[in-house]
Amino acid sequence: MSISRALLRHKALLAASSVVLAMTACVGGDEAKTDDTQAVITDTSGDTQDSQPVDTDPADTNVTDTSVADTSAQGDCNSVPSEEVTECCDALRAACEAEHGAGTDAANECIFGEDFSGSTGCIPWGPPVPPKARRAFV
Amino acid sequence: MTFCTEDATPETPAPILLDLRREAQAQQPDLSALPPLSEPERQMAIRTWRGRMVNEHISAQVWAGLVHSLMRAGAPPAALAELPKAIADELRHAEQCAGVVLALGGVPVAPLPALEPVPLHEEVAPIEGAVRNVISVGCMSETIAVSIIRAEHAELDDGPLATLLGEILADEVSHARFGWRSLGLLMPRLDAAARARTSRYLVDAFAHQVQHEVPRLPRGGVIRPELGQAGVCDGGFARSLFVDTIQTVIVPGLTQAGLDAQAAWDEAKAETAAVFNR
Repeated sequence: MSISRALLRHKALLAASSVVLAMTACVGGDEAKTDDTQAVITDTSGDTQDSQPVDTDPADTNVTDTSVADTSAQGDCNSVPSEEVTECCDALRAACEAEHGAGTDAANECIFGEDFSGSTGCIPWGPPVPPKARRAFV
Repeated sequence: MTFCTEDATPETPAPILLDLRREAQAQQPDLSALPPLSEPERQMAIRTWRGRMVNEHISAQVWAGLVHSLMRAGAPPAALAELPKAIADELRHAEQCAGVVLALGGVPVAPLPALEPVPLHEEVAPIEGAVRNVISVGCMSETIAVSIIRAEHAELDDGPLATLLGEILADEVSHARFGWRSLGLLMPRLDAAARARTSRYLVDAFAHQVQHEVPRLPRGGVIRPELGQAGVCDGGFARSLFVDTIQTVIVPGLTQAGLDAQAAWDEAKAETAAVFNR
């Protein structure tokens, strides 16, 4: 499936923002609204196959939806990569694979750095144990 | 699941192994339609899914810890009753991930990491302690998971892995909603001093998220689309999504709850700058 990074980001943030609504309904004090399990699910991104929970009225969210904004000017790996960054990464991969062989551990270390775990770049899904408070409190 | 231990010397206790070979047999998806992967790519996919298997399994004990934390805070039965489902969800997800490991030709066995107890935050009142845990687990970790899994799901072609990811995503949405709903119920019961302390706790909670997630997300890596179809994601994009989800979803949500979330996130980012720059 070919799908742009901007659209992926849009879908992801829309799904995440939908879960925050559970708090909004609750704080509103209207018991009938606290049950969001009946929420109509509609994706505004244009993918009609989408069945993920997304609020039908983005205006109700407290989230600034900047998800389709062009962030390419940021130019670092903490944002959606720009074309230049992507090209750079592709070039890096090509060079590393040419030197070490595609898919080898050495190539992966060359591409990802020495901390490369052999896995992925995938965020683990299950929540970790919450941290204890480390700093002095008022 | 069977309980196994690896050989060990008397000085070093044997690690406990998480062995889901039996469970994986029943959960194995048909991956015959996956595009061809090189052997190193296949191994990478196996490591990815095995890591998810372990992480999902041990996260069940996080939800179990919330039972105690929320019960001592006087949470209503309806809220407490949601926790056993979340525990069961995480254990089932682990079995599903084990099924993918097996289908990819891997062995769904891995050392079980050390398990830490969920803190009760006994230096503060039970409700305030419960708020901290709910924020960390539901409002942060699970909300980030929703975002990341949603993106991964959107990238997959129709098939068994897309179906599996869709099922897991639905559960994670439910878990995250539980967190935000619980926060909405508990926040009105905190006084101004407790809210101020909770805002300070956010710095620790955000920093913990960064330290837990970002080192696993290599910068600058690009994976082949074929590998993406096996459920392996692009670390650089996942990193950007992690940051965006905090900035555009979690911080505004916590702010709406009455917490000084933006200042906490800014402070946590400064504190963890070295992690981002690695």
